[in-house]
Amino acid sequence: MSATHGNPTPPHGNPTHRDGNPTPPHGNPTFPPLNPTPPPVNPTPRRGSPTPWHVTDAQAASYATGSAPETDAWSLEKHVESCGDCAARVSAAVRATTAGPELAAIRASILTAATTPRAVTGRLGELDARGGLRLSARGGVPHFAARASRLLWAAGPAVRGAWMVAVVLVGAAAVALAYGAGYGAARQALLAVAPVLPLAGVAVSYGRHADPMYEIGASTPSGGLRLLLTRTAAVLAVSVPLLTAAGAVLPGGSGGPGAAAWLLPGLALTLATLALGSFVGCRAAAGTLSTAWLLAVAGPVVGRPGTGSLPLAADLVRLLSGAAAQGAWAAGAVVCAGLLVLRRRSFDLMEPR
Amino acid sequence: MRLLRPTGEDPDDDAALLRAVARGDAQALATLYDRHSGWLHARLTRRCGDPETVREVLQDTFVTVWRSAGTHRGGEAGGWLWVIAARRLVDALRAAERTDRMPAVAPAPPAPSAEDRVLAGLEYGDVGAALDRISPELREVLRATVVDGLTTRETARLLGIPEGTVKSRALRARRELRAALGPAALGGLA
Amino acid sequence: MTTSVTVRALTVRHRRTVALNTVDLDFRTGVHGLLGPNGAGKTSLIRVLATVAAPAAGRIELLGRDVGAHRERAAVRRALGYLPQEFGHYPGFTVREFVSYVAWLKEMPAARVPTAVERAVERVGLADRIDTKMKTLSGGMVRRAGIAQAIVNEPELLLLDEPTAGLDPEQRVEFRALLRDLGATSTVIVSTHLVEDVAAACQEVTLIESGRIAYRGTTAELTALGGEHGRDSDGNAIERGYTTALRAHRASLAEAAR
Repeated sequence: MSATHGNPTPPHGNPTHRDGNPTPPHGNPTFPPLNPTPPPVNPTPRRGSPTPWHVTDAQAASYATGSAPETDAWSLEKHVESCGDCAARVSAAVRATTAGPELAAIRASILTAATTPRAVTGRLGELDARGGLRLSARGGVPHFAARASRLLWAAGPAVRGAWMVAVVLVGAAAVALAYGAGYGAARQALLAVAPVLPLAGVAVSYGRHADPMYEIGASTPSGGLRLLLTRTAAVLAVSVPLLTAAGAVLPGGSGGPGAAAWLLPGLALTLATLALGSFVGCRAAAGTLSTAWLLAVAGPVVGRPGTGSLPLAADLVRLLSGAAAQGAWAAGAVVCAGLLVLRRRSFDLMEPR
Repeated sequence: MRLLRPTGEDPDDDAALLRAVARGDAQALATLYDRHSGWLHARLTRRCGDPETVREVLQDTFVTVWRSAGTHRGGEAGGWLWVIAARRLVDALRAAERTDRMPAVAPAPPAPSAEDRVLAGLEYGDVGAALDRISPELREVLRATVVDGLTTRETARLLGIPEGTVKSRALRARRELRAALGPAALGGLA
Repeated sequence: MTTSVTVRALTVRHRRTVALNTVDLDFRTGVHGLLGPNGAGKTSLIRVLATVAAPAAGRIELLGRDVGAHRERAAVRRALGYLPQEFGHYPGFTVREFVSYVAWLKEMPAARVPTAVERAVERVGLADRIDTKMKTLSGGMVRRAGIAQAIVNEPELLLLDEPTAGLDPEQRVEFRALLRDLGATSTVIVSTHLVEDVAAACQEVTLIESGRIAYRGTTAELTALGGEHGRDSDGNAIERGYTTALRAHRASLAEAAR
């Protein structure tokens, strides 16, 4: 801590110090005597200016052993900050001293710390007396486990939360209705509800209302469209197989739409939610489109009460069955995807309140 | 993190090494260590008598480099390394004396023009003789503030003296330097 | 040392009200305090710098890149740390998962994440709680976990909005030491309404009042404004400096209005 370390030499005690200085004020290789005039060279800032001299081997050795006078040491210290060659020369000289073995030990432990994935809860870089890394008894999380859980985070709140339960319940309820209560139009009912379930999933997965970490995420490179698409994909990956399988085990009735008939409408509506969501936010978009779909499917039923399940089936047939209907949904999906591509940058910033 | 890589650049150049370290290249870290650890060790040893602390600080410095080479924003790698090492040293000494309370005010570093003048003088030797004449405790304050670029507070921690003393010694050191050099040499140094 | 934040003629609106009014600012490596009364525009500035909110007008350059362009913005965001004033978390996550998740969002190389997460959590003093669920943590601990997620990628630009809210006095002292450490290699911008935070941790102060810059200077200069008779250890000097600067700003506005 003290400056007195290794400074026994009086002024001018190091005749070799200014060797190699191209502009010695008096052509004198030693320190000049007290000089009342300014130096002949303009005092430019130290960094980036051409350095007027380099460290000689003798200077490096005298610094390494701690015997260089204080002011010589200062010159050398400032110089090696900006001169890699001299830094290497001085470092080599220090390695040749008694500090050599210690430097090698530190080198080994730094490289160990750098190349080993750390399983330590303590501070990285803490050394025990022998210079080895101190390891805590507790192990770290294995890599594959970390990766698996990262997938789950990406999937987002929906897949881990209430929405997941809702999807399973809808599927289970349809099956229970068909086989438990003998309800004949269970598949139609399921098909009527299925396309809006992914929308609900998107609404509870992404955006300021759904995601408590939305604002933190919005400041990251992945927090925008990439996260939204990841979560949408997770929502679809859960809802598509579950609902399609549930539909397939239900009695279809003659002429009714097949169990997979909801897929294209579901995809189109999901993409429409994302596209509309780029303007108004995902929750509002999902709400609007879900309402529109349910009105289209169930509106006529509400308008003609007491006529049983047949009108629902008829409307579903109109909306889902046949090449024309499915073709229209496919075209809608393509249009929405195109719009989403055009609007992709809008997810970079936070969605409107 | 630098944008452009000039063509024909030496792959072992410090900046290139730091970029490689930022990518997680342990070999580059080793090369960087071999180039800079020696002088850093010697420089730390001149400022701290306890070999244990020096070892910890040096280790900590390169661990920091490994973690945050990506934050290096150009400039001299050696100077950057020293900034890290000096801060670590101050922190290590602060941790050593638990009684130290956080002072209320972080003072501004000394005026850069004065630093540069002293340093420019150093390079050409005219200040060196004068520096050798001033007392060791004034010199160690100058070394910490001017050569090592520490703030008044950090200097106080490093040397274990109050901040007020650092300030008054820095003033005295400069006054004595100016007297020794004559008004023409360092007229603006105040 | 390069300027890492350049802001020119920045105007930010919240619906009808003007939160920031044609502000010019530059920040370099080091710890910078944003001081001002509540509602002065500190949070608006932090949110715009964190690239989560768009300015109504003006130019922002972060880390030498124009954040108006998508590709540049993504590069900046990888080197950004942001702690919102109020932030949520997934209650079922452990501290480790919470911080790792943000590391993933910041596109850190997967191999470095486990080490970086433990390092960040250790730096905020939560190492012993790293595998504790977030929902069981106290408010101050949640705030510290929030700081950990902000620094997990060793950001070049760190934006902290009221980071000391909810911390007890001892944690504040530790946190200020951490700030100083981070300021050695990064640009740290801390918004606070506590003058003592700035006094203890910041090198430079920017005083914001009603969407305008009321004062800029070093902490020492603001303290000096509070009167020379205040000694170094006297926190009151900087508070007086704060009040003096604020009054001078208001007086000059009143002068201009006349």
